[in-house]
Amino acid sequence: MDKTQFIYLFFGYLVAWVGVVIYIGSLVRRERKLREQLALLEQQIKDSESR
Amino acid sequence: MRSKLILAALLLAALVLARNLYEIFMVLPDDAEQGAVYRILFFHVPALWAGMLAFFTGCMAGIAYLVKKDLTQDHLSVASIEVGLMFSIVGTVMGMVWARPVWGIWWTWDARLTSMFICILLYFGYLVLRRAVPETHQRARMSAIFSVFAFADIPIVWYSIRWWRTQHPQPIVGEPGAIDPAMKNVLYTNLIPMLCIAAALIVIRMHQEEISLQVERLRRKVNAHA
Repeated sequence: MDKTQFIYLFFGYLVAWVGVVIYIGSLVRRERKLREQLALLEQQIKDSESR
Repeated sequence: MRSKLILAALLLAALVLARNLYEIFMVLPDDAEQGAVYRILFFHVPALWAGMLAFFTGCMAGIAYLVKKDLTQDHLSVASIEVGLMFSIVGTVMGMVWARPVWGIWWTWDARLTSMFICILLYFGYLVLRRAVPETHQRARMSAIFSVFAFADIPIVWYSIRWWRTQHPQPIVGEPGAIDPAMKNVLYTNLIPMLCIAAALIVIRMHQEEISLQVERLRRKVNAHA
């Protein structure tokens, strides 16, 4: 396999995996943030109801 | 149930991907004109097909929301469009990496690439629009209308290589003799893992929209208590 061709092929595939990994990372961050917000709001409601 | 569906989809994707990667790197020979770099096309093409199917789903779910006013349809619409955008960007950038050694340029403003660029901008606009509208049903209605408007670009992207002379290669799908049958088999079957991954991501993203809606409702309740 020609070296230049191999480099382009490698980066072509790398782009695909990096793209998917970045998107999954953003999903994980968003999920964590949402769960934190949900827990905080549930706690606030519980506190206000117990008062 | 949701977790099992996601797991099954990802398992199927992994199995087909493993088989196809073996075919791509160990069985199929280099292309006579393009050499080894043509192997990028086995992911570039199915990724863009998966992206377009996701945009189609987003548009249909948008229409379903306008008819039924059911927020689940809005969640499906935004999830599909976001995942479709990711696949479209990945597919387009892979195409650019393929184009550099084959065409000698990264990018050209021909009809296919320009219409694809506009498509990406339109769906970015869709996501920006959603952030700008705070009220749930108003946001869903505006997003649904925008998703139908944005989808109008997809047939232009799809048919651009038939309607105009482009730097981008002419269609190989359904054209007899345009591609070797062994290569065609891998190209087509690679759509399966793309669709499985897209479906899994859409299900995860839809669930996040449900949690987000729950957060919005609780926030209103907290504000009412205050």
